[in-house]
Amino acid sequence: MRPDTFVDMERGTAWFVRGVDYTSTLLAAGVTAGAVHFLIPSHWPAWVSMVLGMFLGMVVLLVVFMGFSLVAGPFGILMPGMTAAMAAGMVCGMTMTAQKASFVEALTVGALIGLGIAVSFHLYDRSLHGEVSRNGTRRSA
Amino acid sequence: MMELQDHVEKWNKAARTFDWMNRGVERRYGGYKRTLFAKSRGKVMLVAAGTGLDFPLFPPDLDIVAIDFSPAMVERAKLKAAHYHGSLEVMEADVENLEFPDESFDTVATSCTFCSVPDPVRGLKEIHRVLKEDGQMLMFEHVRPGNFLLGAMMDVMTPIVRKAGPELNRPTAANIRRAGFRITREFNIYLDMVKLFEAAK
Repeated sequence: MRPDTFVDMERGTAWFVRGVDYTSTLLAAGVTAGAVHFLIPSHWPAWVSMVLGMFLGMVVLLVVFMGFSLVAGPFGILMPGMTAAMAAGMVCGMTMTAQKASFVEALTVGALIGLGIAVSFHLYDRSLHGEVSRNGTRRSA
Repeated sequence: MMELQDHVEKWNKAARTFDWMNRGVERRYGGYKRTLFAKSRGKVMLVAAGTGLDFPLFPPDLDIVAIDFSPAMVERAKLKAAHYHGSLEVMEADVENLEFPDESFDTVATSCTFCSVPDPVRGLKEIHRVLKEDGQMLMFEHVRPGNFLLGAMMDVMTPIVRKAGPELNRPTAANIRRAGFRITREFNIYLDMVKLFEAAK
């Protein structure tokens, strides 16, 4: 190993933390969607449901974050988890409650939002990971 | 605006659960830090050593001075220092007001430090003063992301998080330059948020 080369995590650790990132993001979004389904009445105005959904997302994120950041560090959990929980709360609050979607449908939409955001963050991270050149752009991984 | 004593109290309280809370950070980023700190040479200062979680990441047989402004952190770090194979002195000190003479150190290392120092530019200027002319600064830091949305999220979170922990939106690269350093290397670990920096005078 060249002394000036930063090594990535060992393969096992990398798989583990990536698994934790995906699981926590899916959970944050899925549980938020489930909570919105149970706690927000369908006759409430869409914008109120949307704001409450996002708030519920933050509460769910807090619990997920407290658990998962202890095993894989805070940032890989916080950024995608916050985005996913807020998006799931917003979408499910705004649309699903008014349409009286079933619990399974709400959970599926939440999980799909979580998966999409987890994949997006993964790809965004890989595009930024590595050396930064003098003008601030990525040079090489 | 928090006074220095408030910051010290905050980190004194955090010392009780610090090792437990940082297990994930060490698992995820320990390898990067070990590679970075392997570059340490000569007399080394580790700034904001915390409870000494990073001591095993340094190569053996160095002459290290580890400082922290929290007495509770220093107390715990002293226990870990005993296991280091080399010279490792732990002392209570504030990076914004170092009592070391000019150009005392060959290497200064930081690990999630400048998210917590109350006045980061002042702290970095003090490091600049105590670092030798051909010295190096090695930093593992989290910073405000460049992405507009993610940066805004960190801005919203910071007032909540800072009550018990660090600031999440520090422009550390700009602060390093403001203190008179030249960044010789910058490496993104997670997004453009968790980074390694190498800097020289």
